[in-house]
Amino acid sequence: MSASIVNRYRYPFLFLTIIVFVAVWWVVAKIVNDPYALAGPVSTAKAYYQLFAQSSLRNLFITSIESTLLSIFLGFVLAVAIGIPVGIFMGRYLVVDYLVDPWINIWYSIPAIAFVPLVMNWAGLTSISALIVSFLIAVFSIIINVYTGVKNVSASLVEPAIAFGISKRALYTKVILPASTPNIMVGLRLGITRAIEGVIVAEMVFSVVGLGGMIFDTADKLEMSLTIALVIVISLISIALNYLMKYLDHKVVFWKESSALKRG
Amino acid sequence: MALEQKTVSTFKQILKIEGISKSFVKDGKKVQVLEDVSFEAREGSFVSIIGPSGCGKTTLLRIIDGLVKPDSGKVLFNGKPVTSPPPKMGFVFQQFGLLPWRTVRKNVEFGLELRGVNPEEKKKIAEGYIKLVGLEGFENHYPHELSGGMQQRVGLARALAIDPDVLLMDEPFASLDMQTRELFQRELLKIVKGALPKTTLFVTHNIDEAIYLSDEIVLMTARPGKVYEIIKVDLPQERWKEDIRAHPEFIRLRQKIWKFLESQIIEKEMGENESGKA
Repeated sequence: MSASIVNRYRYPFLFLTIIVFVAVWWVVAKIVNDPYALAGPVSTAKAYYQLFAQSSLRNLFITSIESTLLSIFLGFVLAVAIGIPVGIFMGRYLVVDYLVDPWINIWYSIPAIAFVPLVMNWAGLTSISALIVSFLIAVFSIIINVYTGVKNVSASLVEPAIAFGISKRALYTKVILPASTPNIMVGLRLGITRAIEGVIVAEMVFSVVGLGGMIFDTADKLEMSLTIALVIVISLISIALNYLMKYLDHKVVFWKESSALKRG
Repeated sequence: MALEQKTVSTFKQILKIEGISKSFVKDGKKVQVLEDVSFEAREGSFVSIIGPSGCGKTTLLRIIDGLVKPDSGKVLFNGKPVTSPPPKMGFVFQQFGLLPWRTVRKNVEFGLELRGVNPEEKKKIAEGYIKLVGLEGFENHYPHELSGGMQQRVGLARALAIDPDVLLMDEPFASLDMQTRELFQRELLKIVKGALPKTTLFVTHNIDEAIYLSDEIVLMTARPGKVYEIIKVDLPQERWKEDIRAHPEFIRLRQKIWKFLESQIIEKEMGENESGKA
């Protein structure tokens, strides 16, 4: 099939896959026939009705979403605010690189969940703990990508700037930083995914705050339709945030030549 | 009186390169790239540096601009030693070196911006040079939307915009196709020998290009690069007006230079083969 036809039917295709997915889900739930193991699409739809109709549940749902989004946002912003400067320093100064790089790699390889008990001891079962976990796991993806970007800024961009008598400071603001934006954006896109992951993991362990807490709680009470409904809400949030980053990426690095690779 | 002054200034040595030597360390071995290179450039003259690849021409140009420090020797620009890129030198790079997130106009303004020229004046100057290099109408395009030839026009406009006394060009046409290249050579001459006189130092390994453009050609040996001969090109000025490539002197110079370069290349290859055997 030619690429243009595929493009034209992109959204109908997406819609079709959703229909197929729901159908398979429905069939599997029918076969399993155990609402405590797997809730089907119909009871999940009912759970959404419950979430909005029952005022106590609705209030809990809204405060949970607020708390989760706030933790993600603050954890991510903190990770960006610290990750970008650290990445730049590592990329530009060999000494900083040698000192910090092994540590970054060690921390980066720690699974998110390992941070949770530690942080719990510092800040309790709160959304602050969740944002700290999210920061801790997001910051390294950002540092590593910014560092890679800055380190690999082409000499063919830096040398002309020096020939035109650029100051050290302007070299950063006018050349190195803009030239690194493609990598910085990769870092941000990975960072937001990891920030979401961190918050949800922490909330699930704490089981009393945010959407993660609610998921844990509903599963604990064997309300599987609510659990699935909430998992879908989290994926929607994740998809939306990822799209936002993708859009930003597109806006910021418009100048990068696109690859001419054709797909069948 | 006025005439006398003019005569004096015409013969002023704006650039003196004195005994430049440079070596690099590669794979733990010292490689001598340049050895005792000396020559001068008169104000307003066009000087090409030509030699087999690897003879250090590009390094030499970077040393002249103060981007690379020589091991010994010095560069005098208007009588003063060069230690860092002088504000009155413009550099045109082989790979253009444009900032891809800036439009044509913003790229041309780059040097002016670094010199703190106010926005209105900056824009006016940039537009003048964009017009000079024939890019009118492309002010708001981005480099990736332009052909290689057009990108190098931006590179030239950017270098001219800072109003340099000396223009340094490092194989600026090497990545352009033949037709674009010849067209660009003619236009370059029209600018630096006509509309906007500049002293130009031009690195190339293209013999025709060197003869066509230059008043003098610095002929360099294979590594370590030394000055073998400085050739005066005795061809009519305003060369863009007639085709001088068929001029007998042009042909004589081409043969002379090629003979030398050929011997250098053969010598180098023989040397490499021998060291390969050992």
